Amino acid sequence: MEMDLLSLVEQGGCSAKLSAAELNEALAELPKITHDNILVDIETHDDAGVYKIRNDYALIQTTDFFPPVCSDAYDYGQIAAANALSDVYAMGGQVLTALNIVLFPAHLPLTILKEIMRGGQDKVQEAGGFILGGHTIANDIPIYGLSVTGWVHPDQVTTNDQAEPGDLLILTKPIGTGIIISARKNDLVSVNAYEAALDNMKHLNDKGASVLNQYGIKSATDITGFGLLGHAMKMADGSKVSIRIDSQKVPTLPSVMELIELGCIPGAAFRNKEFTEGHCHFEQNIDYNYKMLVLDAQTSGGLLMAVKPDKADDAINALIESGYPVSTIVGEVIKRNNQSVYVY
Amino acid sequence: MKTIDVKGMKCPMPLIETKKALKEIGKEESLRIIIDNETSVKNVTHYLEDNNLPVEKKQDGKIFELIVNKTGDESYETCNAEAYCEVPAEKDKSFVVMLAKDYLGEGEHELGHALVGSMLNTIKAMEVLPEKIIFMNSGINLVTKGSLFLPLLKELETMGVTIITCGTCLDYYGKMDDLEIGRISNMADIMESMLTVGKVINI
Repeated sequence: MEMDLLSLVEQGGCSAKLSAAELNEALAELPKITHDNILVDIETHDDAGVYKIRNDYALIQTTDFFPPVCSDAYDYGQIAAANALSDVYAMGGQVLTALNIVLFPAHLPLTILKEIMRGGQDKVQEAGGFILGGHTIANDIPIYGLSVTGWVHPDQVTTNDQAEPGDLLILTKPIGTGIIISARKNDLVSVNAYEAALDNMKHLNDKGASVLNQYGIKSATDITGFGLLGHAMKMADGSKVSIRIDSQKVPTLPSVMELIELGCIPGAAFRNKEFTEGHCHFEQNIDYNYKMLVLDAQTSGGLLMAVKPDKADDAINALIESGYPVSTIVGEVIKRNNQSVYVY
Repeated sequence: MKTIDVKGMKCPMPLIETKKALKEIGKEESLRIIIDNETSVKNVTHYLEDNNLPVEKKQDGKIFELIVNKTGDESYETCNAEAYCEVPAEKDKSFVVMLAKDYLGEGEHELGHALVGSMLNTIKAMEVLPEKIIFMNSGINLVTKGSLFLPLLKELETMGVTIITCGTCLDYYGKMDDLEIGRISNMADIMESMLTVGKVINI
């Protein structure tokens, strides 16, 4: 396939997500719903909704879709699917079924669409789930994603509102996909670094979810569009605690720090900066490049989990053995302070 | 005042160009940035303000002009001393040499060709060696079969200089199998090599 899908996306590097502030405003006046069976709703900005069917069985529902993040259609399909499935894993669950969500330009060759959907299908299959159908609409630019249903034992739901002071924060994947994609659009990144980013985005968080269950971890989230800082902030606010992040400990994809130094900072990072401003504090002598790193919008990022200190080493070892080799402690949970997150 | 025109560039290229230009200009200088993309105006302004560099913004229809003054504001110096002063000082010494033709200067080709040898010899004797020597276009004749300078380049390579050659160029001239030294590279790699060092010496 000759076509570079990235060339179809107009705003190079400045990604498609509506800002959190705009979203909050749009949702503000919708009536709040409560029901005994609803275990997790929109209230805490969690990754997915959870609905209890029986005392030992709850459904997880989520959806995620976006325009191309990479050049190749099959890669794109896999990444969009891995990203959508990730929300189920962030709740501590496993995947059951999925539906395709497809917007596709009528003038593009259908082979591209086939490849995108083959990528999605392969990832859902790898996750142990089944695609049951979907919906397709003609549109100016391609958009692909999934609506996913998963399940979890109600006692094992990991939400973003149960982090407690003293917990250590483990991150399972390196940061920097936003920066690498943006560099790719402008031909500034080596093939190796680009491929490392693709592999990172395709990597399912399924085994991370198993580690959540195995170590009785209560609070976790996946790192996506709002960046490490934005998602840590949501966890801190949801849990009514504060979080400290050691920016030097944050694992990065190859070439990321050099690209930030060059100025290859996508617009989404600045948008995340606006959204976290006033709620997050940066130590005064922190290097500017590290600030932008924790603000970089991720696609299909890793899990951020709040783990009791006595279980942290074992959890990290289990994560490394399950195929997340950079898993490491990037911060800690402290009592609620003036700011949601402190980055040093 | 230095001016950079980043019209038509997509985010984040305007920011990359701005950072580069800011490094180039002296302390007493100002920089004028001409942009036609509103997102980039926002991002570049954001970056400059984050680094305590006040920005003056003008707009003429769809064209924006940002003027940054590197003088006056001392907080930029003190606040960023750690992050910006130490590292660049060391970085500035690093350089790569780009040989995009097989001769030096304009005039008699024979002389130009011989001058390449004299330059490589001089490089060898320098205190700081280039990180890389990049060969492009007819420059590939210097690293392929029949080049008089292979022994000299081999010496430089053993001294730690990386030799890279443009694969597209080798292919174009049908010399893919004639490369005698170093490795084949692509444009992304070459750009990265040039953008991450203090200086690029272009021959």
